[in-house]
Amino acid sequence: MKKGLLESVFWAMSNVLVIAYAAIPMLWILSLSLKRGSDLNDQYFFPQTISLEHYRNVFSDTQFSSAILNSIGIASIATLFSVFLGMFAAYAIVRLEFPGRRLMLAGILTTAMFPPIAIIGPLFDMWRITGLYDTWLGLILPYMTFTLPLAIWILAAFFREIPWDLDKAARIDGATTLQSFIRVMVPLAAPGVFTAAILVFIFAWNDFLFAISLTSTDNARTVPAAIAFFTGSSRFELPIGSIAAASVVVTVPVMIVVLIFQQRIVAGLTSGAIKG
Amino acid sequence: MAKIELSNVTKQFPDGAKVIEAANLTINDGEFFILVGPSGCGKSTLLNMIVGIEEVTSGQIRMDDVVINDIDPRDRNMAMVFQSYALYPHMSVRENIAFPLVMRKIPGQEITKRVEETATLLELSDVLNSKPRELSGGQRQRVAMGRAIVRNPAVFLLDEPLSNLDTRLRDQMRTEIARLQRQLRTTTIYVTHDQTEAMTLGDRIAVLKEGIIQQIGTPYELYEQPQNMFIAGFIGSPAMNFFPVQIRNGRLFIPLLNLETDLQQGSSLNNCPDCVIAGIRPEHFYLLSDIAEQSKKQIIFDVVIEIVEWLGASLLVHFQMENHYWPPMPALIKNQNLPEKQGNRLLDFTARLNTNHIIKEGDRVKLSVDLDKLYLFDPQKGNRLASV
Repeated sequence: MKKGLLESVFWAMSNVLVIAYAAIPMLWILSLSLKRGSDLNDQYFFPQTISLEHYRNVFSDTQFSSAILNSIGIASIATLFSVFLGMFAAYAIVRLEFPGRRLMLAGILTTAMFPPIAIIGPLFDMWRITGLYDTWLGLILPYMTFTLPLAIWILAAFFREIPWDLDKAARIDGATTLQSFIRVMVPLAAPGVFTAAILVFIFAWNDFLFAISLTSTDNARTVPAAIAFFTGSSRFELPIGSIAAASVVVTVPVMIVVLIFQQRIVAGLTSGAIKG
Repeated sequence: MAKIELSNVTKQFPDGAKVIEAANLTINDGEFFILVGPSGCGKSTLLNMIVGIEEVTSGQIRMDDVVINDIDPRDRNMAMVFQSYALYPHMSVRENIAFPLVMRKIPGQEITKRVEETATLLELSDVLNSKPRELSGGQRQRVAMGRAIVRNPAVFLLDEPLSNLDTRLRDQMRTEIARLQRQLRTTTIYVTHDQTEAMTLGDRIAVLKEGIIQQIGTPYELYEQPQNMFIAGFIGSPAMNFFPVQIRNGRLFIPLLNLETDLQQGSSLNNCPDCVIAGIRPEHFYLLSDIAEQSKKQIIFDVVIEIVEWLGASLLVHFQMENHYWPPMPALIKNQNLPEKQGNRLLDFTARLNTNHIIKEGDRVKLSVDLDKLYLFDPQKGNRLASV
């Protein structure tokens, strides 16, 4: 059927609108990061003169490079643990019948709904007493806790899709429960594992609340918190250019990671297991 | 090679539902044994208990006189083919077939050799490097078989392995499975709901209904001497025709035909309940003109053919008979074993005839049945009474 002109125009307009809504803030930050310091308020959308001075500033700042290391380390470790624990928990919830299973699922969901801001105060005190304040572990723990429910729910949905016969077949073929889990279940749930990992990683990477509250030095301060501590070269200069450059630097890796793994987040990997 | 014995095996789920009740079976070494029954009769549960992926509530399963109730499935040395095939979708055919050997830590060279042999046996050599999703239904089925036979198990278990194939392929694979079993002589337990598969493949068959084993026997025994109405109706295709009859004063009264005939002298049927159910297999009807001599005792059905199905080698004709003399048999009015139609007054019949005569829908024909082909059943318990 041929589309009417009006319909094509409507779709084109809608697409432009959505793309503009999503992309303009990003492009604006990119543009700011490439402007010269003196051009920041020139009211042009595109930089008149391209300059990399802000990027140079950002990378020469020792505080920023240690923040990047902290971000990568903390987010990766939190992701690893969250997905690892989530896999076992999700598998148990899907495959085992144990008393309190529904209660457990509900409890997990409740944790996910709990507002993080409500525990920041107590956490701050507890971390100072236990010595976790301003350490990697001090951030990894809350990130893991708050992303675990998400990981469990995503992975449980994927495990539920895997035919139970495969598990039985592996057991009869001589695999232990663990071997069946690692060699059959996990490869088949791979799209779910990647999805969960990306979401957990982005949560940890973007978090500002825990990072600003539970850190005080370069020991564990992550990028979002570090950006807030940027200063201009004099007290009369706003560090907008540096902030923009730093934002671009921390956004690009996440975008690349998502684009790479997007390929893997394709359902249908299980096709062929069963008739059809 | 193994002998499997089940004694009083019962399966009860936590919610109280009894799926298998006191099953007693002996499956001999090298035997091709069939578990057959309608869906939901517990046959798959029984199979799962034998292989060890379902726990036994009470009773014993023995393999070569060793109780295996609590042995892990991986240590039972049994191989299973699933209805869904359960191939590992992320592995190639080669890896799928090799999986049981890898799990048993068999050296790599040996694995390669045995996988190649199995692939040759099952004509899978060309697709060894394909993924299951690239295969046709028949090939997937063979991969599932290959994964089972590659490790020379003591017992094969097959759970409706052919039900996902189209008819032609199913017939072909059925023959292949039979040939394979004769060749390997491995004890085989085969679950199916299809009585044709059961009759053609099995050395012996156990018929299940609602978790209870109804009868165990060779295909011949089940067909010729069904122990109850359920087996009589389940074994044989098309199914046996049932209708009410009455026994009074040593004579058999068939109200459907308004016919009364003598019973044999001294027949134990004289002690039977008044009203019983009779059964006739479709293939025991003959067109009256086909029978040269009429020495045997016969009953004649004078019917109008309603539907004719021509199968090439034979002819299925369907007709209905009205039971005019119904009211004298109150015991049968609410009988669940009889088809309910127009208050049980109209009964459906199917007859299988040879194709010597052309019969059209609407024709009036006379069909005869030898009286000794009549099966009689107790209307309440359903068990078979002595022959006429």
